[in-house]
This record gives sequence, C-alpha cells and structure tokens, in this order.
Amino acid sequence: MKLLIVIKKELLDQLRDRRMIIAALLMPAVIVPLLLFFMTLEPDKGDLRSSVRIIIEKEAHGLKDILRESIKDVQFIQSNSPAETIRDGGAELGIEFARKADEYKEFTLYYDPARKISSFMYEHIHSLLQSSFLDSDTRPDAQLIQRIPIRSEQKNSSLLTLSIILPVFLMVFSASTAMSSVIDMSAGEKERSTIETLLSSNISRRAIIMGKILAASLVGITAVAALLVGLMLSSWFFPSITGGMSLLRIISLSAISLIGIIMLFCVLLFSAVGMSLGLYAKSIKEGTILTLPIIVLASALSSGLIAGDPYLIDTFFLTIPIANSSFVIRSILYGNCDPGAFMASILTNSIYAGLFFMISMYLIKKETVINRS
Amino acid sequence: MLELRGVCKSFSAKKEMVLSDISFMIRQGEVVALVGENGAGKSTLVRILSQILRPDAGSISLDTVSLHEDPGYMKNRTGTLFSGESSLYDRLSARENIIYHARLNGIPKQKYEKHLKLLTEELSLSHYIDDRASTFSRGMKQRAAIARALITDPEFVILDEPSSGLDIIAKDSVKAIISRLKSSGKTVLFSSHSLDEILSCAERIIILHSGQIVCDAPIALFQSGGGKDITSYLRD
Repeated sequence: MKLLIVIKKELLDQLRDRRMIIAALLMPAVIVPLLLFFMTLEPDKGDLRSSVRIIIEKEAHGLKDILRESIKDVQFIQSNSPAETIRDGGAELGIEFARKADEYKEFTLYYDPARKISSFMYEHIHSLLQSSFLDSDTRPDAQLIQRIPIRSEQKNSSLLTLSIILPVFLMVFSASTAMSSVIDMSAGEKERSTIETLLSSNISRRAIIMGKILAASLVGITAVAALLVGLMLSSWFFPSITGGMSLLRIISLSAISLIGIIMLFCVLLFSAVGMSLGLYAKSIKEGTILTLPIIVLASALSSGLIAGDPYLIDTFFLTIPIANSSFVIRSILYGNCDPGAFMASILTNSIYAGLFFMISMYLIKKETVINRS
Repeated sequence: MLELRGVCKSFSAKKEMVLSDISFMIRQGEVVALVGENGAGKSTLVRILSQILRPDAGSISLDTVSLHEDPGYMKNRTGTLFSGESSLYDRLSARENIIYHARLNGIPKQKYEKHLKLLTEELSLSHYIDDRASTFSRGMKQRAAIARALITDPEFVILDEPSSGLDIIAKDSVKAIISRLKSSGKTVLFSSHSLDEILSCAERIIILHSGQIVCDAPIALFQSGGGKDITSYLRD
C-alpha cells in the first residue's frame, strides 16, 4: 500500500516537471523521426565468419570439396525450402544447381541481403562458382548463376535501417529519461532537504527505494512507448525514413510488444543504476553528470552488436546487459526471436537491476552518503 | 517520557565528537527548549531522535521502549520539523505535501483530513493550501512544513528552529502552536535562537555547547528579573 503511495506521489511529482515531459515524450517522439530523415545507412562489409551453414543437395560431389577448400569451417545442410530456412536463421546460403552429364550447368544462390554474413558468402561463392565451373572462355554468360534474395530490396533496406537505429535510440532515450527521473527522486530529495522528512517517516527504506525505482521505470517505459508510437506513425506516413517500409509492415504489433517487454527490463536496470548514482550525488546536477557515462555506455552496448549477425550471438554476449537486449530487439525485427535469448536478456537485466537495488540499499543506510552536501 | 543516556556522535570525516555523553529526560507533556550556538550539535541531536542518524554510543527510549529495539514505536509517535530553508516537494501543493507524509505514516484519511483542517486554520494556510510549494515564500514553506510535522498528531513533537525565517505574525502563530501542543499534553522539544520564544514557550531549557550539555534547568531560572543570562553559557 505504501509502495503505491510512493509510486503515485513520484509520478505526480514527475508529471509536473516540464523537463521530464520534454525528455520522456517530446524528444523521443519527434527527434528520432527527424534524425532519421537525415540519416543514410551504409553498412560495413562483414568478415567471413568461421562457421557457415550452406544448404546444398546431398549429391553435390566436387562442389562440396571446392567449398570446403575455400571456406574454413562449413556445414552442409539439406532443405526443401532454402529461402524459408535462411529466413528462419537455419542457414546463411542456399545453393541449387542443374547438371548435365555430371557437369554443373546452372546455379541458383539463395541468400539474405540484410545479413552481412549471408551477403558476403553470396559474393564469395558467386565468384568461386564462376571461376570453378563457369569458365569465362567456355561459358561467359553470368546469368547462369541466378541470384534469389530471400527478401525484397525495400524490406532489406528497412531492416538494415531499423536494426541499426532502433536499439540505439531505444536504449539512449529510455536510459536518459529513466535516469533523469530517478536522479530527481534521489539526489533531488537531498537538494530540497526533503530526504530528512522522508527518512523519519514510518516507511522502510526498501519501500522508498523500490517505489522510486518503479516510478522512474514507468517514466522510462513511457519514453519507449512514445518513441515506438512516434516511429510507427512517422514511418507510416513517410516510409522512406525507415528505408522504404513502415515499421508496422515489417513487424507486427505483437512483435513490437515483445520489444516493449525487453525494454521494460532495460528501463528497470537504468532506473536502478540511476538510483545508486542519485543517492551518492549531492545534487541533481552532480547526479545528471554521473549518468552521462551510463548513457554513452548504453549507446555503445546497444550499437556494439550492430556489426554482428541478428541470428547468431555468442553465449558470452547474452550475459552483457543492454547488449543482449539490443541483440534480441534486432532478432525480433528479423522475425527470428530466440526464446532462450529473450529470457536470458530479461534475466540478466533483472539480476543487474537487483544488484544496483542492493547498492542503493547500502547507500541509503550510509550516513556519510545521505548527509553529503 | 523520552530518555537519552550517554548519547555520543562523531562524523568519520571530522573525527571529532559532535555530541558527547548527552543524557536527559523529558516527561510526558513537558515543553523543552534546546539552545546552543550554531554547530553546537542541536540539529545532530534532532536527526538522531528522528532516526536519520544513529548514535555511536548511548541509548534512547520513548515510554521505556528502546529506539534500537523498536524504531517504529518512536517513529509512529514523533513529528519532526527539520531546520533548513526548503523541505517541501516544490511541484506538489502544500496539501499534497502534508497528505503524502500522513499517508506514509499510515494515518487514516478521516483522521488526517480532520487534522489538516485544524492546522490549516491555526497556521493561516487556507489561502494557499492548494498552491504549488514552488510559489511559496520562505515563511509560507515553513508553516506548511510545521503542518506536515503535526499532521500525524504526534505525542512527541520535535521542532528544529520552527520560527526561522518567519515574520512577526508567523512567529506568533508558532508560539500559539507550541502553547496549543502544551495544553493538549504533547511533549515538545524545540530548538531556537529566539530568546523571546524560548522564555515564553519553554518550561525547561537544555543548553548545548560544543556537543555537551552545559545547562539543564527550569526556565524560571532565566525568567525573573535577576535571572541568569542564557548567553553566558554559550561563551567559552
């Protein structure tokens, strides 16, 4: 009951702060679409990964040997529907071929142009096939290698745009709004000298910390919702800002809800980190300054895996908060969200949030910290 | 009855004793003035009684219930006004500030609304009770903060410099509040730099000097024409 009283009061207090309304609603909803208008994307070429899965018929003698020689670690798999298997993340490339008298005549290459590893493999194998089987003297016609991207060019472009910018914007805006609120709720209490009355009240310090973290999380998730709604609407009317397709044509509302759930735990973590910093800081100004590196770190962690593959992640990265959530958001965009990675992201962020909650509990009990002035 | 025995406090940064061997007793319904120069340890003592700071040594009990063993007992029965210019949530109204404190302390709505009405009249808050605290003058803030300290109808009231920054009329209303608390049998400990306030409200005076009690005597000792001079205790 008292927890609800704290939450209600903190939300009322925050709603009356113009800076919060600007930071939580206006900036995410307006600034992001504006930035996108001026943003062009040119993804870097990815490196050839050590392990590559290629869909190929069982009886591809000679061809498999050539591929093995050219690619360090290759796995051959079979599928009746290469495009679907690649879309589901089951392979990086698919090869179909036609033979006449044991001689390779035509090839069809399936690949995912939105995945760097897949695009790179396409280029690599295209030239390999050309040089190995379609010698320029005898068969100069390059059309003998048919290229089938598993998505339309427009969708590719949109996926690339969104997978790069969406995790970064979501993390930066949720971190800045949640932490700005929680700094006002913690360092602000010191600055206004209201902390003394609060601590002398008959309410546990645990409830105070918990109430403030949850209230800040609600502010942060509001910013996330505002950003997503702003992006949905703006990309609906101006699809060019998201590479040609609107957000709602790329992913469903339920997938957007999954992103919201992932972000809820990120926001909880940011609020808990902000609470620790705010309790330590002697003023709002100091607290705000202390949160800046966290926002930069959130930005770096959310963009760190952009160069990686939205279908594959090392288990190690799943233990890094924010980075794992960023990966999950990208995999949701690609329609290939792994439930294990989803749960790992929620669990990791919750554990880190719990850790910072414990730090906050330690700080609020420490007289030298509470009386810092 | 409030009882302090051998309370000591030092801050690790300074390493010097802010309060040294503080022992006194305040009976139920007694009004005691805590006097001392700036830095004498008055606010530290108030913070210890309000459980914001923990004493390094000594014991505190209210109605023989130890603060250490049952901190909630004293919190439920104590209302504190802390010193300082502003201690309100600026974006909340005076009413919201006061009610927030009442609800945190588990006061039922019916009780705090009745009490708020009384305090609003007593402290002349009615004209601006629903205005945001950010628009208040220092005096208005102080009156709202006093109302907040008293909204729980506490048995033991601690007022740290209640008339600080107030105009003459507001100072009078603070005096009236203390008198009303006294007549309703509340125990009051207030600190003040105003001799007039001390002499007119207190029954007893405790003088702190460099963290030690240098005088604990009935106010009558200082009131009569040939009475002692309080300031003489504050000089080295």
